[in-house]
Amino acid sequence: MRDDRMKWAPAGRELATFEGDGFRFQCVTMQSQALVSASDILTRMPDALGWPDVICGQSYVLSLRRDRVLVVNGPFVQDGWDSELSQAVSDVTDALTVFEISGPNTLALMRRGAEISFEAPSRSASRLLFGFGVFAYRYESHDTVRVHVNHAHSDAFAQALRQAATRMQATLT
Amino acid sequence: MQIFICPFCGPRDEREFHFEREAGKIRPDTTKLVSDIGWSDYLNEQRNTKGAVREVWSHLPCHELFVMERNSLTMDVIYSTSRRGPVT
Amino acid sequence: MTSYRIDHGGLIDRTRPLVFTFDGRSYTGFDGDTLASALLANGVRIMGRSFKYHRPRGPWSAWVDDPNAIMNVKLNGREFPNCAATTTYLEDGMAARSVNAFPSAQFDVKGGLDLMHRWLTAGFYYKTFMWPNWHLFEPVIRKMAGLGEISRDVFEDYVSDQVHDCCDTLVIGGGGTGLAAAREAVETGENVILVDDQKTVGGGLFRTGLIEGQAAADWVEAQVAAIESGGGRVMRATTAFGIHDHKLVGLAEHGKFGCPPRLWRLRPGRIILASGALDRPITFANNDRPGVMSLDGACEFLARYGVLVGRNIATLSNNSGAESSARTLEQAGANVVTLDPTAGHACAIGGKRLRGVELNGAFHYADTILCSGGQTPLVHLWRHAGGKLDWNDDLQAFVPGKAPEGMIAVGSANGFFDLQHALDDARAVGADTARPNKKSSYKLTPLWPKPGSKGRQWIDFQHDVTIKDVELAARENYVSVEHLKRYTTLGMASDQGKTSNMSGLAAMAAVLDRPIPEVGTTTFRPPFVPQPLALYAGQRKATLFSPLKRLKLEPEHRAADAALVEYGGWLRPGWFGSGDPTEHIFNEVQLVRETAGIFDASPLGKIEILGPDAEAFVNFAFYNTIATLKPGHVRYGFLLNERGIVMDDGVVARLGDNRFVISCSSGHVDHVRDHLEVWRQDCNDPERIFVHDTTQHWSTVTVTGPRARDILEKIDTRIELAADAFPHMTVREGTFDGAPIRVARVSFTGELSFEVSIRNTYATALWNALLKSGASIGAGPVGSEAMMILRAEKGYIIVGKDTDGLTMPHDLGFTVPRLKKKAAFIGDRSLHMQVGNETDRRALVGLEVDTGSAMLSTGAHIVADGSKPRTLGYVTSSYDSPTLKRPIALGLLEQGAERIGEKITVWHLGKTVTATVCPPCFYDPEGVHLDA
Repeated sequence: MRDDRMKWAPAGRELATFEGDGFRFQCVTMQSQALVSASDILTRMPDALGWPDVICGQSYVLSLRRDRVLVVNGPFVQDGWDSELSQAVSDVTDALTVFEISGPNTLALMRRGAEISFEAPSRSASRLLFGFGVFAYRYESHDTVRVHVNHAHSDAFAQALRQAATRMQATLT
Repeated sequence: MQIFICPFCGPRDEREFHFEREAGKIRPDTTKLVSDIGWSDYLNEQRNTKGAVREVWSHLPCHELFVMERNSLTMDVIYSTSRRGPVT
Repeated sequence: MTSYRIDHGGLIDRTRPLVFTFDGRSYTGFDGDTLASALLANGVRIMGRSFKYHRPRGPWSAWVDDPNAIMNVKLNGREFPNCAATTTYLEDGMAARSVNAFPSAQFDVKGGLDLMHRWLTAGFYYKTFMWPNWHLFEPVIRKMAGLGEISRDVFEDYVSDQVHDCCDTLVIGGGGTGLAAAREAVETGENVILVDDQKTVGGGLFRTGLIEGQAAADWVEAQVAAIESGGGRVMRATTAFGIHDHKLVGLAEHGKFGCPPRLWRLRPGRIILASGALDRPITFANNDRPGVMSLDGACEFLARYGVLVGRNIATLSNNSGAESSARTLEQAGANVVTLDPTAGHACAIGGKRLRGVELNGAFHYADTILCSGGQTPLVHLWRHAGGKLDWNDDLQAFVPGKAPEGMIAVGSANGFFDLQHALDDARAVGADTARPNKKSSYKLTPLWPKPGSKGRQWIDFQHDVTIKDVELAARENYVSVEHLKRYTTLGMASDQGKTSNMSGLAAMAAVLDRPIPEVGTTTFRPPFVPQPLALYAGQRKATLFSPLKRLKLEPEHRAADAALVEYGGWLRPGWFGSGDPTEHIFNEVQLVRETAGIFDASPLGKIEILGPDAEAFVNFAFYNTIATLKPGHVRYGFLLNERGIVMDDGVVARLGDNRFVISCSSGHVDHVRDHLEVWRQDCNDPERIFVHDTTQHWSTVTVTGPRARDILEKIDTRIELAADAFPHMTVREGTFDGAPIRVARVSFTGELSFEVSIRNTYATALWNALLKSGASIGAGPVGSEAMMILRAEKGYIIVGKDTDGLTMPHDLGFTVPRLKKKAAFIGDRSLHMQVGNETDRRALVGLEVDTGSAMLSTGAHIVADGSKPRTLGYVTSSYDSPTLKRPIALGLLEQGAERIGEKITVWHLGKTVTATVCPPCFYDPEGVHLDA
């Protein structure tokens, strides 16, 4: 029962754009994000991409599981179970904060938080990064990565990334 | 960090995984009569082999539940197999 | 002056002098020196005191295998304990202090302890300091033991960078063979990393004359240039400290003194181990005196630092490698006499100053005794990776045997001590071609410790373990090499046995009259040399250690002067207002009971179960029967684990035939979600059930109190709020500001409650609208502390606080499903095992104190009366109730349901009070307020 209001920096402060040596970190607004689950969803949506595919465009689909995708900026679909299409839909637009890391040191920065490389493919964009469960994928260019983080942990994730960037840029000499 | 293999996502850091139990256990049908020993064995019996072990793991990023065979001495991962068949 | 700097040679930069102090006295060294080399250059040979007997110690060797020269070092206001002087590079302004010595290493007041050595043998503390009570002696022993002192300052920025990387070939060791192998590997096109723990790579090459016709420095430079121009990476001052499962190599990249090292987690395709070998000590009487040093170590001090360790040197060696070393030292200006210790008994003569060595009765004058007992390959990393060792009789050493997958040893680490042979072999390995077959020219006469021989003979220099201690361990039957280590503490000092392990196990082998390989080695574990904890912790500290989840409405709460407290992994308002919380919480409780409170309930779980089998699955997951729940209705229930223990409670809302929302408790959401995701694929058909955790998409604002409806009515939700249209335990959908909302009539306070959920984007608008509406009738925001009291007044449990790891639903009064539910559910059979049927199970009860008494302490034991009180249960929740104006408590008590009305004894921290057992509900037991 301890008043910790001073211990934690006010929520939202960490989300500001920051730049460093060979990278840029910023928050991106999404129109909509929807979880769509169906046992054959990947056959229905062959355009669902994973890692290290470079995803382009305003609207796209992320492959998350054998039976789930995340539709980004797609057309509106009603939440719930559609028994005709046999699919489940949930709006998660406000559940995920989206960050974008760009620049030649993007991968070097991400390697502070996971054993990750552009040479090791994965069918899913879902992984752990700095201990947080995220969706991560390349976007528009080979050294730009978008990361979807649970809303409640977006401050902590941004803080972890900032600190890692500071460590990365600190010289040992 | 060890590298485990999710049947869907591929090779990933062990920290993405959660151990569930030894493979090979079948949940008794509790709508029928189940003896105390039968239920206790289901809950508590562990072979805990020295060498090749078959285990049920879940991969937390995609929640795939699967079977992984590992060597409990050398820590080698022998194979991973999905419990749900190939991905369609 | 015995040791001194010669006027030429070494890799130091003589144009850059550096000033430092040791034990308060000022000295000068050069850039490139270590603390040890700089002190030796100034004639300082005593750099510390041994752990137990406080005997004077000088450095044994020039690098990681030195057990003696341990110092506290301060630079730029920061002090670091237990730095190895031989591996700490000198920097201008360093202030070094010897450890375990007062006032200095040269003159230590505790030196007299050595006179008591007969009573301070191995294990003496297991046999003494016991009567009357060992706890009396512990503080004194703690003060006397240990090395170094930790600074109490916190260095906030001492945080290690931690990074993952990979490569095709990792070469560990930048000596001759490492460089040769790395160059070949690079030239085959591989992605190569070479690591070496020194600032200047080259290993022991600088001790050699010409290498393939070139001076060492030129040869080394040529290899490095070829490696780097071929795209390879040479990492200097980087220690490969361990090989972990799945060939993950830990590298500690060091920088300036006081800089935290960088951790590399490297995943190489293959590893070439070129870690070298160490010169072994020779065990003889008084072999621990300052001035008794490693022959290779002395040559390193000369080659790298231009320091001659003595003027009149006696060498003791049993092998063919020693001859060239003796000649090198002579050429540098020392008088060298070569002696053969295999001929008989040796003894060092002298105390702080060495006077000479006696061999078979003949005295030889010397100020320095250099020993070479043979080479021990550094196989630590080989063993970390699971490689086996073979005993090589010719070399009298353990050499790499059966290789771990993807790893290969070269050079002296592999027992190849002929340089040219080693280079050819390393090149073949680097290029992955056939390895040449050659015979070694290295010769050695076995020379090991002789138990029973005269004089005190040291095995472990830092921990003061002698041959007599090994003999004692054998007499007490601690004959296994692992027991020998722990009983005598040999090999457990900061050098981790680099110089003591071989002599120790050889001494034990001699005592037991067994061959050395039968005694075996102890287990090698990372790290190879000590590493700061910061290396492993990285940035996981302070608010990043266990980062809390943050509310969308946090800015509003801060503006309203909320105290923010950690609850179940979230940062939430505990109460509103600054200063002493008691009155604020009190007022908030009364506000809810009399008017209404507005509460941020956003962390509540919202896990949707969708699909044609959703109903069957939810019915299987819950203890209670959910199959009969109609759309638009809400039911309270328990989730059990397979052992029948209550894992979580919560409400389930049915939104449609194939759609349910599980609103589990805030702190358990992740655990419940993972639990449901596993069971969906186990005993159920995952093609017909989907779990969507939408918890963080929504914010939830709860309006609770007798005036709650009035508040909600003032904002436009398109929902009919009257009691008959919207009964308790139902859910409705509507809109606010154009956005969809869900409103559930669920109560955690026992008052009329509406939980309004809206997506985060609209949360602030909703919160402000409700607050404004509420303000007009005197309602306001309330925090979690008030909620805790309100729910306790109703007897509403918090799982994990009012339940523990044994609590089953029938202990909480929910008995029907256990007896009547036909369908299978998780944990069902466990409820009827013997333990579930016991009649003395702890059940949930209420507790009332005597009139005027203080409230009970949470966690206090409820005890049986009698001479030996037994715990019957304990207090789980306890508060001063503003509503009832007296203390209330909940607890778990054996046979609780049968004890209503009984007086019981409550014990806490030695004091007892009485209390009365009552039903676990203190306010409105008929639930009239709920149905308003």
